[in-house]
Amino acid sequence: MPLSSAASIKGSQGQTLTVSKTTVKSGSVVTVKGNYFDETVGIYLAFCVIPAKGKAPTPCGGGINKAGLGEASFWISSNPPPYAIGLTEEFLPGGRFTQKVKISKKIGKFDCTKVKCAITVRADHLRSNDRSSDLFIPITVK
Amino acid sequence: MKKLVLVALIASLLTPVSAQAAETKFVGGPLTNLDYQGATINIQLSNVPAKGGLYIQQCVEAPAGTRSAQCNKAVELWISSARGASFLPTAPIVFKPTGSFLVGTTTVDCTVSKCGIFMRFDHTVASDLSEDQFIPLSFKAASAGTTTLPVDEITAKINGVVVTTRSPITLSYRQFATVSAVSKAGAALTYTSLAPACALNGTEITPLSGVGECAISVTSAGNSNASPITAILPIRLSLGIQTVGEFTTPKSIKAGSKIELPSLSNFGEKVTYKASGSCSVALARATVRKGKCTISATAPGKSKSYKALNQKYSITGK
Repeated sequence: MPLSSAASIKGSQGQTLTVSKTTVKSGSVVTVKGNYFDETVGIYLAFCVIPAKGKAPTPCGGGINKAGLGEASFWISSNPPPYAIGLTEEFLPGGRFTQKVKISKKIGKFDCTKVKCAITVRADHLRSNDRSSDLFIPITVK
Repeated sequence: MKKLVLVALIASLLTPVSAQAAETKFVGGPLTNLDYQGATINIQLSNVPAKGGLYIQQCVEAPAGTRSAQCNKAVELWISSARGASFLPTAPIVFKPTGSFLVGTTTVDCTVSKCGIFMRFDHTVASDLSEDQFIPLSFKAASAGTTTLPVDEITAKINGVVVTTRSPITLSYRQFATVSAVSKAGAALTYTSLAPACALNGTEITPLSGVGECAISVTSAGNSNASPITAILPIRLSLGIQTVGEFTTPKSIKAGSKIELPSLSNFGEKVTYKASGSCSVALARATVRKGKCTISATAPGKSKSYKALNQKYSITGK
């Protein structure tokens, strides 16, 4: 039985981000769904410490990961640079994606039971200063 | 006196030239007495309109209001902020015209023909001539033994249709498309997507947007018989056509029959069905009674990607 219900957020360009539960035990996995994303912009999906307003989310759990299940960071892009082909997950038609993200109590030296952490989306490093794609759904870690 | 001559020389090397209608200001040089081979012109542009990128070409002068067909494809530059462009509009530009070049089987000798730099809007605003401007160039005579290697010729097709900067192709969002190209000289070809709106995987193109433009470049590496060249294949993007996939209904069916209806469109949208006449729909399943039945399928569109679905199916229950 989930510890809390799903949460959803809508971005400025109409994109939606949904997380299956927002209060979870450390080590558990949440399902994250995206829809109506701009497929011409690659994104990072990760579990991160919530940054100061206007700053990029960092630090984040995990790294660039192709394994898909049970990790904390994903690079989603339908048009990655040549060096990244095979490292990214593609958007499905309509700008959709579904990933399972692992939630951990600790992100580096930060403790998510003491600082605010969230499932986050940001534009990838090809547009690292683009904050218009940033989305946060806070997660409470038990 | 020497200083005066030097100042005059520098002024002649960096000559501002502008056409009457064009907004783009061109400053560059040298423009006269250029080496037949190995000439370099340093260019700085300003006031480049945001409406589109530019091509900088070496062409034979054409009558006013027309564009020359006699251009040196091998030295063409694409000036744009888009990915894959030769130079940013604000960057110092290095242009390398040659004293002669081949157009098809015809050699253009710029010591005989009136050659120059031709600037124009790029493929994103191909029909707009307002930035067309011609800046004359002159070359020294060729030294003995100079030969002109012909420029390779690339014939490129997208979905079997020949595409050039003069004849773009239109693709819709997520339309399946492949690019194929042939080098006349048999040189190796490489393909690159020049804009994020089109993904390129090998030779398979996936339009990721339903508005704007993208472009694929095809580059010939050249060989001992031909010099390198890059062809740009412009693609105009249009909204995708949303469907319920391969689903079709029979024109007539036995009364009491049930039809399973797809729950998602080809773009992943949830499809809503409504029945009128001799049928009903529940849980993505239609039940047809005796008589005429119409089932309408609708799904929302996505701005800048695909249109809303609005499809009707007519069935007769017998």
